[in-house]
Amino acid sequence: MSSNIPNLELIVERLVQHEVDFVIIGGYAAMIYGVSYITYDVDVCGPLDLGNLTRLHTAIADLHPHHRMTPNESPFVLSEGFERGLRNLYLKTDLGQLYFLGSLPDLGDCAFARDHSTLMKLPYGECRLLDIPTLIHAKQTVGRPKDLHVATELRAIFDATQPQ
Amino acid sequence: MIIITHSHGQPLDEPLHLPVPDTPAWREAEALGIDLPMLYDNIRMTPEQRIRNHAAALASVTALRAFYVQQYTKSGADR
Repeated sequence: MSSNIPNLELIVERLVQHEVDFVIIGGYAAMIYGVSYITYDVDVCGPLDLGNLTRLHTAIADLHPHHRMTPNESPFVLSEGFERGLRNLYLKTDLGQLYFLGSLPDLGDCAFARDHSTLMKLPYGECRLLDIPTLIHAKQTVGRPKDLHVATELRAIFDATQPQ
Repeated sequence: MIIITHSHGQPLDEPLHLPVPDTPAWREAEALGIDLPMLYDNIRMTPEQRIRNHAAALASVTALRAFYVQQYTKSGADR
């Protein structure tokens, strides 16, 4: 790791610039909506097909990506047939952790995530964010205390941002 | 109607009065001890500002953690 300080925004920027198909979900999405919560990784949902995986690999190849959940933290390389049966990717990079999920647990696939997302404009391009009601649902489904806390803040934010 | 008179990042010569919807969600958040003024400050920022603030907070927390680990390791080695 070239630096110990994560830079999650740069990970998102790279994904956008390399036209990776993804929707930001999880704590990073909650933070963008205004939840006062520090997250240590970026969770995204998108298709884990060869095309998207190739774009993802190109986007982060120079960041020494490796699999966080494997015993020896093997490097993320695209070998033939790698995408077959792949459901999630838990990656550690020089800029921080990136969790690339093929679906939203207990809610739906990546097409569902895309259908329940909103477009966000950033200086380097546009990217999709899971919408607040679906994010609340996802957090409640996971159900850990910290997720329920985030869901509570999201409900308050949702109320406050609705037209009177 | 809850009136917030807290002001982070606002002109200091004028307290912030923001009407907040008195809904079950806000009451629940308040009951759980969530800092509603801070939440409201966050809402008023742009997504870019929130991302920038989060990056700064994450950098601080990471640096503090590294310092703590270094100190803990050092004091453990001294024992």
